[in-house]
Amino acid sequence: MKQAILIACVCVGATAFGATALGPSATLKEKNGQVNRLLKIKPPKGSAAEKKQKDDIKALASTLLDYGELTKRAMADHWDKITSAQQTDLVTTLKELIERNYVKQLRSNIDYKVLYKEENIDGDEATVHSVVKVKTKGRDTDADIVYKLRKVDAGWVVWDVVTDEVSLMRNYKSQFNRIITDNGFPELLKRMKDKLKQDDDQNAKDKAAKSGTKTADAKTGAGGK
Amino acid sequence: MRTMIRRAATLLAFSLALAGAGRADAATYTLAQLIAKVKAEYPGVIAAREALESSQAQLSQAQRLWMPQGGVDFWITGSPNVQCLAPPDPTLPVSDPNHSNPHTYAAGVSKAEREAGGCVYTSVVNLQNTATGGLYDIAPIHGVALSLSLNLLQPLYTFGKIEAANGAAHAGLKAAKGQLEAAEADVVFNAQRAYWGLKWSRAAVDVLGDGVSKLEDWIKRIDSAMNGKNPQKYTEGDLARLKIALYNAQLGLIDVRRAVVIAQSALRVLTADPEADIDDSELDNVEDGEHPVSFYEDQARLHRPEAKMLDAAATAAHYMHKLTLAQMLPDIGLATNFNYSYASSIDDAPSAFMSHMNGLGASFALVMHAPLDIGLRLGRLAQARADDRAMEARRRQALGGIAIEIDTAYANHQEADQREDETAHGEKVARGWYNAVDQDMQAGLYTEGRELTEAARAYFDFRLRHLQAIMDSNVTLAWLERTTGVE
Repeated sequence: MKQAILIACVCVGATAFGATALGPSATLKEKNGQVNRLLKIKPPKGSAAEKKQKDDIKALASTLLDYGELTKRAMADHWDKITSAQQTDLVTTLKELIERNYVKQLRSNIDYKVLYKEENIDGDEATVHSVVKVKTKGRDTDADIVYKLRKVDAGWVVWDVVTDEVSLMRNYKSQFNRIITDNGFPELLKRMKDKLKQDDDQNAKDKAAKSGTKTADAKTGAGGK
Repeated sequence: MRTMIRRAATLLAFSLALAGAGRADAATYTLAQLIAKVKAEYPGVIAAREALESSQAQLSQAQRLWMPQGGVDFWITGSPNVQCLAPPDPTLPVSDPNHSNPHTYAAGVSKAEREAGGCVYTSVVNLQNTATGGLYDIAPIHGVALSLSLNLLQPLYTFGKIEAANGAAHAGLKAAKGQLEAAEADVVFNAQRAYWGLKWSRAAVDVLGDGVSKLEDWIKRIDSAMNGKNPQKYTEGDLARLKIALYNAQLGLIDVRRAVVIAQSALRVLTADPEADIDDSELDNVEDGEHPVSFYEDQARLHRPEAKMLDAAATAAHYMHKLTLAQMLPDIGLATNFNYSYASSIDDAPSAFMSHMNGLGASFALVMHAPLDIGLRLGRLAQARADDRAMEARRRQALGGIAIEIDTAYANHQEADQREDETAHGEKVARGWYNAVDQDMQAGLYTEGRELTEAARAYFDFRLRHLQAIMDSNVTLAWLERTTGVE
């Protein structure tokens, strides 16, 4: 389920390319197809093709999801209290964390279907309601996903995704506020960067363990047999 | 030897393939197929169907009571020699001064001529005269005797007996139809319960299995984090909470696995197929018409088998009362009799006062039969009248019981439906919460160790409760349909 929602966010992320003339729902629908096509490619794990696929997804996401707006709204009153450099650092860090999380889910082979429902446009703001039907164990799950978009020069971009009544932006907002209030902004940034480092370390460990296994397999002659 | 082994191996492989094919062919039923199967083949339904045929035969008997009643008797046997003798000839020299010793007719005299002679003397009469008669005259078979007798009684007027019997038989037929419908409705309900029960328990096994593997994963992750820098500040309490949640999930898994076995067993008994299984369509809500309770009460009056059976039983009791009353009154009918008898070696004396062994006769008569045991019949009438009134009272009582049953079934279905709505919403929110915690963890913002346990527990708890609510909604709807007789 979690994967489906993340993919839905990626789908949202794909809408920015050439979406100027399209409305919010049409943008989402068109780009959903692009992401699906991208996800259908199943490159070998660890290959250059897989890296390229991940980069493409990241590019889609980074262009589509308005990380600046998401971060600014999540920071609320704290936004104006930090420097411009800190703002940029925070946006970049959050973007990296979210993108990595999306990419992690790419090979999960989940079976899902997106149904677009109503669309409400109010000036430069819009909401699009959709239902993601996901094959889950026991019984299929219908997740309600509401995309909150705003109009920018490039078209419609998403600044919040409300999944099953839980807003991505408001969730970050409450966590940001809790950490900043208790420990200050530097602690928030530190935690986020620590998480990135932790993931990097874990990836390095996994890679080392994998190459260790390969070496051991090669020595015993068991590898690939 | 090698050839033999190869042949044996081929045979074994073939047998195994056949066994495998048998398993692959195991019947899987959709709900509609399952219902059709049990309605057609369940022994309880077959018994009710046979009972309906028996009732139809009873009605047929009652309808034929207007037809003539009676029978034909025929017998054939050997006949003794009982012949007319010529009277004594007074001109002959008299050794018998009283002329009491008759003489046989000369040869060639026919039976009719002998009888025309008066037949005053017979050899049988002379049996006692051992000097002239002997055992030969009676014991040996001298000819053939046969008789055909036909008796018919056409009822003309029975003072309502036949009409009452017809009415009671009609009511019996209606009751038998009601019993068949009830047997079908019972087995259809049981089939639905087994079907939804199996779907629910399998879905619950999947959900709990998923929950167990996730909990085991989190326990490992938290344990590992606590052995390291523990940036999320997990505590032993967080770990213990997760472990308790894991044990709870495992206990639930044991329970739902038991439910799978029970539902599977019920399905196999209902279908009489040890390999029977159900389709893999999703456990989902069956749409109902969302009618008010009064709709179901009205439907029950019209369609519920038990209501029909009660009506039929009351009608039957009423007709039994009428029949008992009519049984105190006479029957009027037309009696017809036809007789033919013939004995080749017996001469009949031409006398109207004697019974004849040779003859043809017929009679028609208007007859009446009236009972005289009125005292006994009065007692039976009082009993039938009381039974009639008691049955009517029981009918009213049972209809009241049916109304309570419908109200209860309706309330149960409403509750399950509302619970389904609420748990669906609860599941959604819990899933949102769980995803939010996950987002926090992925972004390094996770601050509250307890939240993960609670969100995960709430999510799996609501998923299970939602599945349970869907099954309850479907089963209570099936029961509501059973109580109202609506399909």
